[in-house]
Amino acid sequence: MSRIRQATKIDLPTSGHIVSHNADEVRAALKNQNLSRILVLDDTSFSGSTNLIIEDLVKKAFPDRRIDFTHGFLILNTGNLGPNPGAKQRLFANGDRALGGLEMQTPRDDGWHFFDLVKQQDLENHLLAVSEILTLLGQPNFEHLASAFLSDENILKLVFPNIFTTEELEQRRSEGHFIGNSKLNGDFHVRNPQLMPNIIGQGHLLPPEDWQGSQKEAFALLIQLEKLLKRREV
Amino acid sequence: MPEQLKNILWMSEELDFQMKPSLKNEAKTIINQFLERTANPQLSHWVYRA
Repeated sequence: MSRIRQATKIDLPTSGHIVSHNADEVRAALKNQNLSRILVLDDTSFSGSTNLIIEDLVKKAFPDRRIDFTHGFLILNTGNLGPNPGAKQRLFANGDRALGGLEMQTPRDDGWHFFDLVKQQDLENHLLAVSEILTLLGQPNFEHLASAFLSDENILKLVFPNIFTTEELEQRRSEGHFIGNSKLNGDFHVRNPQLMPNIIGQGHLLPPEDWQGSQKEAFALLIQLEKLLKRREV
Repeated sequence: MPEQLKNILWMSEELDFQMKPSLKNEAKTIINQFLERTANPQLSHWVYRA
């Protein structure tokens, strides 16, 4: 499954998740299996939401079966997300087991998928557009300026190559392949977005004016990394 | 290199070992070069994933 975010809101709120299998397809794939205990594996969980969506999907596929869920992670969040409990507490509250090889605790800790900075189509031009957004970051009306910049559909597609229209997601929803907010806000939604402005906004990367060396040199490193990725040398 | 940044990179190395043992040295070097230039010294950690 893939998280889908609203592309035209600057904090990229979650619109929902695309799932590879709907409940009927899950039922068809697993109907002959012993489902009394299921282990769900993922790399990292902050809120537990992804796993709970999977769990609900399996329960929907097999409403008459009693299933115990265990959720296993490389990294599991034991902290809180604002006023809400994080992954470990939510999964335990749901009656599940949850364990992680490493534990993290938000808000003290945080993590990002580094390769989301790099795995974007047409990376050189993409980074030029990102650079424009970064120049707006320090402005008091940043959100308004960035929204205006992204209102050009060509720029929007350059910044967010993996974009879906609301109509496309509603079509997937009708087929059971999108699980999300009952009403989708905005016209465009995105998978695996470039998160650099958000990472800087949250203080995990410095603003470009405080980087050592030029922005061009830093972006050149990302382009170099993408070339390694394309050659499968990562 | 500032001491805090060393800790970050150490933490990144540890997570890298957990997340993707096969990440090759050239990629690690580039990632570390990028973070040395751009990371906030207060950063807690980064997760590597290809």
